[in-house]
Amino acid sequence: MVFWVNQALLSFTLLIAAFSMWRMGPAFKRSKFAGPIALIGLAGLIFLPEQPLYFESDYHRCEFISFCNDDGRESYLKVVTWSLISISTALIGCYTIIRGSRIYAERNLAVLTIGWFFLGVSWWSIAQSPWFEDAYTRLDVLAWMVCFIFGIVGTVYILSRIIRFTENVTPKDPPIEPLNDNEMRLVTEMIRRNLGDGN
Amino acid sequence: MLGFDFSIAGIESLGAMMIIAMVFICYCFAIHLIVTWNPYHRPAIPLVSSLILCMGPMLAMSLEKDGDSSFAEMLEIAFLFTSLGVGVIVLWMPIILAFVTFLMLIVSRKNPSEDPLIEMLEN
Repeated sequence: MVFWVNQALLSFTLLIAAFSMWRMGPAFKRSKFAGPIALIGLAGLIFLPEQPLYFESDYHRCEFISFCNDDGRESYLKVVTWSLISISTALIGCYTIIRGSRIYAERNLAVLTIGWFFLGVSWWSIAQSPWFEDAYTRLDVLAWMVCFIFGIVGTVYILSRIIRFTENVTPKDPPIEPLNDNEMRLVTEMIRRNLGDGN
Repeated sequence: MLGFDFSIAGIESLGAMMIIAMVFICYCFAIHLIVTWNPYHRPAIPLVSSLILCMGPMLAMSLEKDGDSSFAEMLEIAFLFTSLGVGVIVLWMPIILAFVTFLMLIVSRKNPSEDPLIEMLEN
């Protein structure tokens, strides 16, 4: 039986993998697997298996962390569900507003209104989530949030230094050979056909 | 069973949040490097570094209890770190959404210029 903690971790990993695959490569050729993997990840996050019952063999697997019981599972599911609602409605809202505004075409008031409706739903879902109020009225939680950002900035700096070091120690490729006559003729012909010959 | 009590706002919990952020970012970075592996990358050093930065605190926490560690324990701790990381990012959402709403207000009221290229040059 798959324990819900393991499934949640695997699903989150799949979502990160899908996002990375989706953003890599040229804009006209993104990975075809990103969408299906993201869907599997989302489904895995939402449809978590039940906690084993006390007479099942896996019941005592939850030995290390204190929250992986039924209450923990319910709380986790609640946060994930409301967060997904907030994020997805905000994304749909922003996309619709941009489509309905005068950036790409004429302003479409109906599309714009639908976009603002979705953004409103996102704000409503945030208002329905009690943990935001708890967090923003407690100084210690605000301090954690700020420290978390410092941690992210510090880690990104460390990783950027590691990448810079890797680039420095990577042996450089030798200079490429200049074009030969045949290649020069081909390139010239391609440029002439694309730009025209000045006539 | 070990409980994680972050309710005391001491320097320890602030440092713990920084370590959680480090583990979270390194975990995501390692996954990114693995799934986007291609012949033009040189990911070995960044991947090993991010795995060390990610697994180190997890292993330390796992060994803290009884000096012993298992794969199941490591998975539970990885879940703890990633879910706490995502949780803190979710807590930033109202601020991010307020900023995005402000941008959408500007976009909704925006009128296109006669020549976008000239406008881009001027800005």
